[in-house]
Formats: sequence, structure tokens, C-alpha cells
Amino acid sequence: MIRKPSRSVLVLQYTILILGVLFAVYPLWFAFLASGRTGDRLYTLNLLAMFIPTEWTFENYRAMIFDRPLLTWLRNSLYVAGVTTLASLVITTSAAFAFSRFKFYGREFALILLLAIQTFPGVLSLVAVAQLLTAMGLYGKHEGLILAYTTGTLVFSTWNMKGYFDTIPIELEEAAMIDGCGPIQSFILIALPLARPALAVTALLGFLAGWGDFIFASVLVPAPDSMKLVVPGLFSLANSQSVPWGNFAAGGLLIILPTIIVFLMLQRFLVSGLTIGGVKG
Amino acid sequence: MSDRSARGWLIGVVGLAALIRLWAALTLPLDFDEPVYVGVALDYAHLIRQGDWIGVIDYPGNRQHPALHKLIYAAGALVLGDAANPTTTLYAARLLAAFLGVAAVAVLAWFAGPLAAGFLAVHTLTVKYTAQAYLEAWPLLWSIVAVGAWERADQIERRQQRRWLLLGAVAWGLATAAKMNYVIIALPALLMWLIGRGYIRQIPLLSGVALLSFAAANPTFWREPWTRLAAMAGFWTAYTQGNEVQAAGYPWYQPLVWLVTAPAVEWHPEVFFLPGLDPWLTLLALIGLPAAWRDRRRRYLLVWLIGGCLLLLLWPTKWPQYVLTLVTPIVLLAAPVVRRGGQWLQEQNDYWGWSNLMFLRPPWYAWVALALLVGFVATVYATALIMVTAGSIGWSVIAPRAGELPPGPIYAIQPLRNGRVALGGETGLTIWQAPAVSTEPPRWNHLPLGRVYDLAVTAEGLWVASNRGLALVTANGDWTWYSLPVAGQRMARALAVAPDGSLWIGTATGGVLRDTQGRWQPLPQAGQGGMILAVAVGQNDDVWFGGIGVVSRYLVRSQEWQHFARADGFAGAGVADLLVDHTGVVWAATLGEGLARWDGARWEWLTTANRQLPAQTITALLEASPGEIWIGAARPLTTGGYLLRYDGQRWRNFLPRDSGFPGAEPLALAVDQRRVLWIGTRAHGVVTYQLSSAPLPANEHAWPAHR
Repeated sequence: MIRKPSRSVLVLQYTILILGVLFAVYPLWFAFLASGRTGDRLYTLNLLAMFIPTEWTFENYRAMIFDRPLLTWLRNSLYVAGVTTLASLVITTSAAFAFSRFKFYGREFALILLLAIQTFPGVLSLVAVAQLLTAMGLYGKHEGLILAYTTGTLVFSTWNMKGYFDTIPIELEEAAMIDGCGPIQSFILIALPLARPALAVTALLGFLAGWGDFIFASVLVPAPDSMKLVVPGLFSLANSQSVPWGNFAAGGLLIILPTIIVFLMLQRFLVSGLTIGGVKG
Repeated sequence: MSDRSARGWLIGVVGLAALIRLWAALTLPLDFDEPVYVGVALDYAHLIRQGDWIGVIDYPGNRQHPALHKLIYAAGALVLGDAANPTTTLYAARLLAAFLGVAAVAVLAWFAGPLAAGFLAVHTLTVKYTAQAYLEAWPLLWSIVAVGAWERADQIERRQQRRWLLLGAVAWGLATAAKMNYVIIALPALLMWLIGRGYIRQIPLLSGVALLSFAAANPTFWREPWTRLAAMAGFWTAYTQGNEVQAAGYPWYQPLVWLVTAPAVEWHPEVFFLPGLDPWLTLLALIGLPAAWRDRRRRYLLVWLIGGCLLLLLWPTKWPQYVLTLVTPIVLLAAPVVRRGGQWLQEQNDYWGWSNLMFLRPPWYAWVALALLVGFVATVYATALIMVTAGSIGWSVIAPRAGELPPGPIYAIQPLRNGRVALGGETGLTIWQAPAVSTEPPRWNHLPLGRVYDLAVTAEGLWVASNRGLALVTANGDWTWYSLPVAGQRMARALAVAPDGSLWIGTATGGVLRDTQGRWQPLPQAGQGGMILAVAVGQNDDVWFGGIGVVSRYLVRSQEWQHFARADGFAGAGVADLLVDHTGVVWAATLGEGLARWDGARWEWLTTANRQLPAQTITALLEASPGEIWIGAARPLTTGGYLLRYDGQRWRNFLPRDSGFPGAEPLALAVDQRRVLWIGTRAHGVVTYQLSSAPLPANEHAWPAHR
């Protein structure tokens, strides 16, 4: 039997929820207000204008889209994030399938090694990664960054994918093999379509790794402006004397939208992809 | 493919081509040859407007290329009428080129299908050179028309063949009348096509028709054709060994580099923001070569591509636009490869149904969100682009350059006769001479006269106020220094000429008058004996001197002085410029306290607080026509400045986002006889702006003509 909560408990619950929502949404709303305010001001002394737009200009959006290289940065980020996503999908699905389906010498050790690597903070590897990329001639290039991001997403995505493949009955692939499929065909034509939720999670993680990072992107591709990714690019708008807050706010809102759209596109698969893969091992 | 589906693809491809080329035409920066072709187009338009057809035929500029494409650009200038100037004609020419480029895509879609046309639509090097004022769009279009007409001739019954063959020949002639290399590159393939399809006997007729249409469409060859053709050949032979080609230093294999890379994307990442497909199309064309060799009817494409490549490798000049002659065979070879690949994938997918299982089907609201984001960004960008493009019409910048305009601030500008303009700067006087023919560069003459603060013209010549003193420059370029009757001071800081020809001079310690008899009279009362930064002659027989924190008025008849300092309602700041407008109102530009107006009784202040002034440091003033006041101002605490126009009621601030003004700090303003506004800046050289009204009377800014 479900007991109905009392009115006071309900009020308390809703108050907490509303406060939580406000806490989560207000920064975005604050950035939205600043992005339409005239004169590069982050704050206003007008009490009403602190909460609703009393004046509005698209000048900051125009400046970011037309005067500043925001579109170039977005293109760079899209390229890096897109290729990272594809590379993550290709590598992690094939690795996870192998871990899930094949018994080979060193399998357990490799899985534990992957977990051990995951415990190492990524930032600490930054100098080593930069040195490696320099030696490979990839420092300052998007391809180097893609390599760094792809390796960064490998561990979690491989484990997650492996967990998901473990839930798919192997009999389906065996049946396909009886019908004439080889291992690669059974992987591509049988296992992959069944693992779509996990693929969506891997894709999203790969995309987010390339899209929202600041530290690796600013260190591994420091210049020129035309090569920067969107987050370090946005950061470079500020200098020691001034911060164009209006531009900053407009740019910030514009760069979170692609992430939201990718999330909306993959939304159907995300929850099941995360939970199923996460609880099996 | 059904008719409806084919029509849909055709519209889609042509729309895509139009969109990309329009975008490129509006956003690509000015390229090397564009000013030349636009200049020729303006000259042609001028000659046509005057009815001087002989002048068109004998026009001497840029004879190395046939005239037709430049005449087409001249048509754009003619349509513009009085609004035709280098900037407007450039955009008109680009839009014409883009239209022709889209037409080329449409024609290719008609005879080769939407896939090949789609490849041509997105080929970035083709997009670049068919959206700029180059000579590629027309010959590309007509070479495609020619190929299409001959392919058509080969597909229909014999009776109607000749009509299409003749159309193809005319098209080749028209293509050659704009640029000759298209037919030269394609010639082996054309001969192979005609011989291979059994038209060998038609070759003399078709060649004659092509030659006739070439001659008819190219007025340069209407007189002395052989001499001019020989001169053209001579030019190209010499050009291959010329400085320009040598300086570029391209290796012999450079055409292959153009073909296997996407150079337009590398040069203009802000325009072509997606990766270029050019190298992939070349690769696909190479993959398609064996199949083309096996198919006798398509073998000519192989000859066109390989033979053309060889010719380009042998030819010493390696400009990137030359490879556009090979784009047609590339897309015609690439399309069947992709079509075959697509068919194979389709068959595989029909069997396995993999795409149905794997491809994302995002919910409708994700599409809506994506459409809103893309739509918002595109709308904001397009609005800003249109504002800048429309605003930049009539503007151009003369940047400092060795041998031309010296670097440093431009303090003074004085238009002279014969299209010359004197510019006073940090290292002396520079005289700019407009070119006689648009294809030639302007001429520059530099006179080392020290730091030139001001310039004025009398019947004797050009007076130069500099830190070395006062100099008179005569029309032949000689100069004489004059000693000012001011103890211990050589510097002349400001000049003004009265209607009677007397010269009023501002110095570091008051003013000086040089009357029409050449007598000097010191005026130590001017500016209360301090530095005079500006002088202006009033309409009430008075002369105004602007000093540091004071304006002095000298009444010539009564020889009385009036001084206006802070206590008299004036400012404590220096006066950078003075202007007496057509109504007699005196304008004083102050360095920090805004703009002051004297109406005969009191000073009225225009500041950032009470008017639309963006800054209070006013640097220059000009009345370009009665009631049209131009104001230069400096940005506070940083570099750059503002340019404003005030028509008595409205203020217009010319910003980089809605005009061609680059946001430099104006130090001097002047308008020449062609109604071009000259703006001397502190760090950006000289900016010019073509004002729209009628030219000034010829006697304005009188200066002894060249003898």
C-alpha cells in the first residue's frame, strides 16, 4: 500500500525541488540575460532586469557569430568531437566485443589493466601526451587532440560496451554463423544493431570529450585562433584588462546548444545504455 | 529515377550551387586580379556610355585576355549607372560570375545528371573562381554547353545532329572569346571526340563556326586581328618568364597539387568552412579512368584529363585557376564511380536491411531544435553580412606601403587638380596621382618636408606647415622654405587661406599673416601667444585661431581680438580643428571636451552626454557639402576612432560592422573633386569613401595645373 504524504511533506518536497530547479537553471538564465544586455555588462542595478529581460539586443550574438571566429571554433570542435566519436565507436565496440566473446590469454589482465589506467588522473598525463604528440608531429594539430581524446574515452566506453555485449545472448550470433556469417559479419550485422543503446552512450561520451574540454584543448592546440576549439577560444576573448561579458554569455549559450541537440538525438537509447551496461560485467 | 524526382534533384543541385556561390561572392576577400578586371570593366562602361565604340575596340588595357568577359562585367557597371565605382562594380561582377557559375551547374545537370552537377556545385576551387570577378565563369559555362550540345548531337537522329554540332561550335567560340585556355586544354579531346564519333568531315565547318563566333564576340580582334593576336602570344611568352611568375616559384608539378588538395579551403577557411571535396573528386575521377578507357564513347574524357594535365605541367605559369579547365572531365569521370558504388551499397542494404537497424531516427523535437539553432546562426550571420557588404560599398583603404604611402599618421589632406591629392604625414608630403587607365596603379611622389601638420593651396602653390617651418611647393615639385617672423620658432602648425588669397598661419607662439603682397605680419595675440593648432577663416571678415584651452577671433577690419577661454564658456582642452560652416557657424573640435559651436553669441557644447557623440576627443572636421558635417573622433584609452556624419538633425556613426570604415582614428578629412571623401588616419593609412552627391565645381581646391 502506498501511503499518501501529508500536505506539509508535499510542500517541503516541492520547495526543495523548486529550489533545486532554480539552482540548476538560474546560471543559464543569468547568462541568457547577460547575452542580450547592452554595453557588455554582466550585472545590472535594475532589480527587474536581474530576473527578466527589460532591454534586449542581439548585438552580442552578432559580434560572436560575425566578428569573432566563433563559427570557426565551432567547426573545429565539431570536427574533433565528430572524429573522436567515430574513432571511439570503432575502437571500443571491437575491443569490447573481443573481450566479451573471445577467451584469450591475458584477457582478465587486460581488463584489470584498463581499470588501473582509469584511476590515473588524466590531467597528470598532459605533459607526457604533449611530448608524445610532439614526437609524432601532431602537436598543435586537431588530429593529435583526437588521438588524446579517443584514448581518454577508451576505458569507460570499452567496459560499458563489454557489459552490454555480455547481455546479448551469444546464441543469436551462433545462429547467424550457422547461416553462414563469419565472426566479423556476426559482429557487424547481429551484435551491433542489438547494442544500439550502448553505442549511443559511447557516441555521447566521445562527443562530450571533444566538445567541452578545456585543459587538453588549450594545451595541445594553443594557437592560432583559426585552430582553436570552442571552449579555449571563448576563454581567449578575455584579456588582462577586460572581459567582454556580453559576448562571453552569448558564445556560452551558443556552444551548449549542440550538446543539447546531440543529447536529444540520442536520448531514447541513453538511459538503457548506461544502466544495462553499467550493472553487468 | 522518375521525372519528378529528377526535377527535384535538379532544383536541389542548382539551389545548392546558387547558395554556395552567393555566399562566396559576398564573403571572399579581394583577390589579385579582381581590381584589374573591375578597372577594365569600368573603363569599358565609361566608353560605352560615351558611345565610343572605337575606344572599346582599341582599348589598350589587359589585352592579353579576350574582351568578352570584361565586357560582361562592364554590363554590370552600366546597370549600376551613377552608382558604379570599384566596390559596387566588384560586387556586380561577382554576382554575374556567380550567376554564370550556377548556369554551368544547371547545364551540366541537364546533360550529365544531377550527381556530376552536384560535384561541380561543391568543387571549392570552382566555387571560388566563379564567385570572384575572374575570367573563368563564362568560358566554363560555354565549354560545358559545348560538350553537352555535342553529346546531345550524338544521341539524336542524323537530320538534327548538325544543329547541335553547330551550337557546340558556337559555344566553343564564345568560351574562347572570354579566355583561350579552355579550348586549348580540351582541343585533343575534342578532336578525338569528333573523329571517334565519325564527324571528321565536319571538322573544318565546325572550326570555322567556332572561329567566327570567337571573332564576333571579341571586339579587340575587330581591328588588326593578326597584330593583336601576335601581341597576345608575345605577352604570354614573356609573361611565363616574368617577375610575377618567377616570384610565385611554383614547381612544375603544381597543377597536380591544386588538383589533389582543396586550396580554396586552405586560403579561405572563413568562407569554405566545411572540408573541400576537391581531392576526393580527383581521386574518384582517377578511379573512373579505366572504365572510361574501356568505353569508347567516354574515352575522350580520359584524353581531356590526362592531356590537359600534361599541358598544364608543361606550361610554365601555374596559377590555380588554370585547373578549372579540367574540372568538367573530373566531375564527368567521378560521377559514374559514385553511382556504381551507391548501387552496390543499395543492393547490400536491400539484402541485410542494416541501415534500418542502425541509423538514428531522432525525434521531431531534436530536428526542430537543430533547425532553430542553424536558422538563428544563419539569420544573424546573413543579416550582419548584408549590413557589412551594403555598408562597404564605396569604401577603400590605402594602406601604408614601401614606395607608396609612408607609414605613420596622416595629419593633413589637400585635394589638388588633375586628380592629385596631397597627404601630409610623419616624414613629409606625399602626392597621390590617380591613374590614367584603371589597370595601372596610382603614382606616388614623396617630398621630405618633415612632419607635415597642415596643407593649404593658393595661386602660388601648395603651402606646407611642418615642424621644419613653412614651405611652398610649386607644381613642378620644387619647394622653398620661408622664415616665419616669429622669434626662435620655425614650426608652422596650422594654415588657412582667405578668399582674397592671404595665408593665415598658426605657429607655436601665436599666429602669422602673409598677405597677398607677400608681406608677413606676426599676430602674437592669437591663442594668447600659445600654440595654435587650428586656423579657420570666417564669413564675417574674421579669422579664428584654436589654441590650448582658448579660441581667438581676429576681426580683420578693426584689427581687434576676442578670446574665448574656460571663463568665457569655452573649454580648457586643446582645439584640434576649426570649421566655419556655410551658415557662418564656427565649430571647434576639442581634445577631450567634445564639440563646440559658436552661433555668434555663445558656445553650445555637443558631448557624449547630450548628443550622439561616441567620444569627446574630436580630431577633425569637414563640411563636405552645405549642411553635411563630417567629424573624426578618437577612442578614449585605446587605439582607433570614430567617423561621424551630422546633417543638422541626424547623426550617423560609421562602424566597421555596417560600413567599410575600419574603425581607425581620423586625423584629417577632405573631399576631392570626384566627391571622394579622404580620411587620413593615425595608423591605418588613408581611407576613402565615395560620397553619393554630384561632383564639386571644377574651381574648388584650385591648384596650378601641371605645365
